[in-house]
Amino acid sequence: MIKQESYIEQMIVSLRTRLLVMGASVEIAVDNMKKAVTDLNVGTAQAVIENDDDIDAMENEIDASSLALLARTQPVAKDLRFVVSVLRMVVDMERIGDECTSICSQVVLMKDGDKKQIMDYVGEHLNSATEAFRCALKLMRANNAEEALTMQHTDDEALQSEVAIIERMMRELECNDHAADHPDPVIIMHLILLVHSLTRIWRRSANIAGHIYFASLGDSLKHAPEKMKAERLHF
Amino acid sequence: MEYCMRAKEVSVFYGGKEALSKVSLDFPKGAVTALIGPSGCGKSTFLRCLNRMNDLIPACRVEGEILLDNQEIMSQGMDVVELRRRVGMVFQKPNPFPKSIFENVAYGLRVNGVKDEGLIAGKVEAALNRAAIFEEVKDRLNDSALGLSGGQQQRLCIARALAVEPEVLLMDEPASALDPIATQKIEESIRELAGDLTIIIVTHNMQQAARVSDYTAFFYMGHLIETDKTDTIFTRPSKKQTEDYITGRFG
Repeated sequence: MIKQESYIEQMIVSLRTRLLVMGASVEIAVDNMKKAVTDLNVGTAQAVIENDDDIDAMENEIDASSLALLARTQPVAKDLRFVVSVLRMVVDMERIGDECTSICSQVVLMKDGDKKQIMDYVGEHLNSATEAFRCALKLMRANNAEEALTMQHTDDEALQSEVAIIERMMRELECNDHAADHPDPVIIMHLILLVHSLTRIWRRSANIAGHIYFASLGDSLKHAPEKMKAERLHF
Repeated sequence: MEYCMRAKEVSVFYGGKEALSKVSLDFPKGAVTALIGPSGCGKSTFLRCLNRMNDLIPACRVEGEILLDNQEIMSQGMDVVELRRRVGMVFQKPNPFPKSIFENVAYGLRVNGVKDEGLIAGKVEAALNRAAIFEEVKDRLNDSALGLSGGQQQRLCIARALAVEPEVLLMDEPASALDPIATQKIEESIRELAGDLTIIIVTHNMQQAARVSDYTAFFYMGHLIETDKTDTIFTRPSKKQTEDYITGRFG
């Protein structure tokens, strides 16, 4: 059988290119969000907030291209799975952009906070969440289904990490009433929101890995971590 | 699962050339099975084996076993006229007889010895209804069938096949010569008939196979490459050749 370029292949390549461009844009937002949190940099935070409209526009554009592709070529098999995955991935990427905006809004509100203390609470979670997105993007570029399956399993880890941070904050709020490094309750409130947004970035990155797996092999990993947890409890 | 027809290692030769190689395929009762594949892959040749239409082609030899309700159709004792009553066929191009609409549908009944005009009229009406054409022709049953549109002629041919109450209906690209509206009506008829009837359809139209069939079999160069539920074939086929064909990556 001789492989030949077809109209549908051209449309698929064009859609994949748009998806990668959107991924790169969200990656910039994630990187800048990380810088904004690390340095409590209000300027960088505001730039992330302002650029979110561009990410939203890309989502709309990819939605329109996917619909046109479905209507005009009626894709099947791997092409259909790819388009369905793209429609799911752009939703996750757009939400990751939104979470970056939410985090940066918290950065603006915490601008006079203690950088060192903030990073002590959220630094590790920040690194893990941003690394999860970077990893999802890498898998998307390489179309690597095998590693995508491994990454899907990190969903539970994200939740556990969030719970551990919040428990620590609550503990220190209760116990260190008179200590010099007693955390400011207002900052803690902002940090809880920030940590929650980071968890969502981490989990949505795991979702993207699941979509990559589906596009490649046709098996859905939706709710797979919950299923695995239920199976563990059952046994 | 209950099967209406079963083909076991069926091979077809035209002279010394093997056109179909050891195809084994089962047809679930009441289901629609689509046979797909590129031109010359053997799907129509296979379809014609199922009611021994290949008997009419000189130098054509069929090997293997084809069972209709566990009865070997290629045996000496099989009455071919009776076989073709039980396994009806609709062709690519509508081929009504140059007779009235009524007589086209009544033809098979008369050939099978039915003489009761009341019974014939009832069966003709029922067949026209099942083929979803009765409402369009009920006031002109005595007009020539040749005056009908292409889509109506094809549905009339379906009614003609249904009048003798077959168990299986073979359809060889039944909508390829029709416009989209007529095609839609044929496809609706196929879905309506499924359940009561086992339908085996050859089509080059992937979307049509996806829309109308419960099972799909992919043929390539005289071999059956893959068969599965239509949902599976069109979302996650297991063979690369199938995927290449249905996604259009096929030279």
